[in-house]
Amino acid sequence: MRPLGLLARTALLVLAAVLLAALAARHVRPVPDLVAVLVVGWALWRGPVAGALAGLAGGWALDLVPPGADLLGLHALVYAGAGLLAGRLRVEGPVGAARVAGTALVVSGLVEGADVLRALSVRAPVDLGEVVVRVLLTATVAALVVPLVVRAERAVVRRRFG
Amino acid sequence: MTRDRHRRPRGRRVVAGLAVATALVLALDLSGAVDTSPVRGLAAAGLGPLERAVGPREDKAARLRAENTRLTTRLADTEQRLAAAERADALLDTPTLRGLTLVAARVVGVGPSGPAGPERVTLDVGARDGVQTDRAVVTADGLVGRVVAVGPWTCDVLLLGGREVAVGVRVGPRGVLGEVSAAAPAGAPAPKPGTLALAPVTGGALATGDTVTTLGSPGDQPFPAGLVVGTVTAVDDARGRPTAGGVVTPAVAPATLDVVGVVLGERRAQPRPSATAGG
Repeated sequence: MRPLGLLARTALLVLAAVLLAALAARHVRPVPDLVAVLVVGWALWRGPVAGALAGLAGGWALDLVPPGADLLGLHALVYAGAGLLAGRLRVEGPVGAARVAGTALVVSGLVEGADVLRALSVRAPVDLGEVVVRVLLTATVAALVVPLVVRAERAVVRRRFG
Repeated sequence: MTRDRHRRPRGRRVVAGLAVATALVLALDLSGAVDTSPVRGLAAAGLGPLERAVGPREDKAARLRAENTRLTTRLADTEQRLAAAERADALLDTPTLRGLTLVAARVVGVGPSGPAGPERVTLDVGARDGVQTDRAVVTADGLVGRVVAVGPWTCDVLLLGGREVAVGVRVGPRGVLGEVSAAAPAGAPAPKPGTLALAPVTGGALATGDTVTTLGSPGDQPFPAGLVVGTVTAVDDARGRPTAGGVVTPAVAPATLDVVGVVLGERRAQPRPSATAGG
């Protein structure tokens, strides 16, 4: 991947994180985890290493976009692990919507589960119903958006190599 | 494909290195050894404008909400001041406090809780307001405690129920002499949290519901006579002891203290006039 492409993808992840913050500021709830959707897309397109890298960058974006997370780097590590796992679920050839949704379920479930565990460890209240709705929403949005991400990636490849 | 194979290990190394660096940052942030606020500051400086651009705009509803918040806080502030003024008035109108010189004060700090609740509070009056140590602190309901330390603008009060506070009292209409303190007399069961132990000097004659008032101290220091301390809520049997003790529920709950008065009364300088009886 060229530096410019890397930068563009990072910018997209940051944009997703900013969008999440802006939607939350407008009291839109629940919001699908757009960062997880992007991570799933790239992990299924390019494999575990790219998935982990995307997760790392996306998690750092979530940690740093104001107001930020109270622990810097925790989201980054969790998303990287989830991206790595999602990359392992990649198959050669066309990917069905069911596989995309399933992968998004795994990724979203992992990152939400980490957040729930962290909340439980400091005895903070946890709204499990909303967490479940968010995970399902993320999986649904992933099934719709990931084909667009993959199509864009494919267009980039086609333009570069003919 | 060959290119891919060449590239893959390097990519894996880069990702692993980044993940390790992230874990390091996380550990430093968790341990608190390093101040991470510059990183957050940089992120806020870089991403804040973007967030402001896509964030909700200020519209009429937002302006009205802000106005509403401002008015609500102002109303709450005014109400609180009014309530404080009312409480101060009630304090000065209390019959048992008639004739005493008081300075009104607010509780501005509460010390760490002892085994039975807070034991010390700080008031916003001090030596500049004429407060000295060993002065009684009262509310309209009754005695709160006594001043133990005075600063120029604040003073510290040891509350009734603190370990070192003992008050000489009279109990009931007959005025039985006794002593109220947080510690139970030898042999008696310890009082429950929030209550005080009453040890009468002479035997018997305690009844549930009796009002407990202060006996008074020389020169009204620390306690003037006749201040309400609380009510007798239980009398224990005198089995094995010379006198029956009791349990006093204080008239003032320390948890709700707000406006209090510090008794300032001067020590008596004039001799008391004598009078002829039966004349």
